[in-house]
Amino acid sequence: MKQILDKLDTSTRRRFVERCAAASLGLSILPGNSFVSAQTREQRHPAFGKAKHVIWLMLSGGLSHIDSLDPKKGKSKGPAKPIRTSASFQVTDYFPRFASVADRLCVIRSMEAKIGVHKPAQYFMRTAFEPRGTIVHPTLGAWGSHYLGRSSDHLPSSVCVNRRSDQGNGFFSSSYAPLAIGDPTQGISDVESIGGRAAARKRVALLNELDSGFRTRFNDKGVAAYNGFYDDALALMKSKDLEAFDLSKETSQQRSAYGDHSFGQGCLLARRLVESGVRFVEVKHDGWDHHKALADEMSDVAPVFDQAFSALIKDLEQRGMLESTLVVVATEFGRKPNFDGDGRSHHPICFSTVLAGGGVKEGFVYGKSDDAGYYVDENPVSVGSFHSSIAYAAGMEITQPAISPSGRPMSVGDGEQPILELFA
Amino acid sequence: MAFADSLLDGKVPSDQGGRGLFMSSTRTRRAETWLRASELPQPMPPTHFLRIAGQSAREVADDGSTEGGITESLAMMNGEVMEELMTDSLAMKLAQRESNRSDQISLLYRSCFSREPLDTETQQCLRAFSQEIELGDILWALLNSREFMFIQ
Repeated sequence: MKQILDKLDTSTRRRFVERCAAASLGLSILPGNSFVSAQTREQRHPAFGKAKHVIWLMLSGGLSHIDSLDPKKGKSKGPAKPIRTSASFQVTDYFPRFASVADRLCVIRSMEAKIGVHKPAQYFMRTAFEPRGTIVHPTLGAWGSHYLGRSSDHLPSSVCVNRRSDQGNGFFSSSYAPLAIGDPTQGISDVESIGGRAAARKRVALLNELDSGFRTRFNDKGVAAYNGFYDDALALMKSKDLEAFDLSKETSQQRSAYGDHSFGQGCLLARRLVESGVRFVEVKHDGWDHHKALADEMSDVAPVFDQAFSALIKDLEQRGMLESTLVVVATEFGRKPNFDGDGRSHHPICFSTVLAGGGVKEGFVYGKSDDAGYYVDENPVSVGSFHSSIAYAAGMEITQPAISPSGRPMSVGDGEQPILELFA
Repeated sequence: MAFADSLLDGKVPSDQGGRGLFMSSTRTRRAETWLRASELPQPMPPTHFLRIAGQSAREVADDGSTEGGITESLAMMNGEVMEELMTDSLAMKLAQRESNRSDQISLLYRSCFSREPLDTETQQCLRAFSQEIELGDILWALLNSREFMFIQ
């Protein structure tokens, strides 16, 4: 039905030519899509659809690849020493626990981006599109809702922890927006109606009655989005699965294994949520913008990540969930090989990320940076193909573009191809 | 008008309930919390009403937001701020002093929307009163309306 409605949309000129070519000449145009569209079900990589859940860990500020996942010798070398891991690659000694689970991870050392300013770079990392004009682009959580539908009857399909819900549904309906959790230890608050349910029902009825005139007269996107937020909030208040948000149901052992801070507890919450059927959870970790005193700040923030991340990987594995859960470590850019004082500045043209679980190769390094860590040397990975790879693992039909409200076809990862070499 | 001026100054005569546009200081329990946004430290903790409503975390520049979300709707409907507004706000106290229902409704409309209610709106509210709706519920409905959110 949706496709029939799409046919009534305004973007028919391109479709018309496409269909003519397909019908009369047997051609499929839009060459950017030819690779995966040529795949039938049988030809698909076995990793397609393995990742039922995605946990996206966002290191906000810009993780220095040289001081973490891509250690260098010579001039670029930072304060940390390289150490061995349980796989064949090295990391720096800021990340000893990460090193102990390295044989389950796939490290990408050849990420390439262009934007060196935090906010637009984070937008780019979360959406794979550059902020441009008035259009807002969706995150992978929203793409998941678009292609795969709701992941749970009683819980939202997408949740973000330690951040607000902006950079969420993009041009899709506000029902694809993530639910924002400000403090994982408090879980979800304000789900109990003031004065009980009966009173709340009457209030809502009165609200809709009084406000209906305004909503009809000013039926624009902003108002419609708010209508959606209220509908979703009311649905969530009735949900039976709200325990998923309650970390006090975990043992104190489990809670301390993840670390007593908002990122660690956020990772634990993410595990609880995917266990209960949430498809996409982002957990944000602030404090990686090390312009000054990099050595000091890394020794503050790296152990927090190191503990939480390794606990998450082990916990997922023990529960047999790592096969079906793709854990992503992303950051908006890397940091420069040369020091500026005792810190490093932003460096988007070469940095590192991590994928783990969900059918990704284990103990594997993809791509290579040059000796200084300045440029990508082998197998560059654009943010677009990073997104497409994750979407492919999650089983999204990424060759079918979505039509934005302005009538433009939009694809996951801006139409770039997934990198199948990442998958086992 | 003298009353409106005192609201702008943030100096409300003590018999009308203390300082702040909407808040009274008669409840000391959260007296330190009820300050104007400009008087609070920034940023507030992540679960604070202002952060939910889009205040920047100040980790990176230009990070405030005017987009809504489920969390914001939940806080507006069920949060501590709303509970306080419904029971203990200056607007509620003044409305309760009015002798008849229509004047109470009118005062809440003026407080929230800076306009008089339309006749139909007054009728709708009066009908609601007969269905066990209380004055606080009217305030709740006005503050949760799209009109309150979008008309500045």
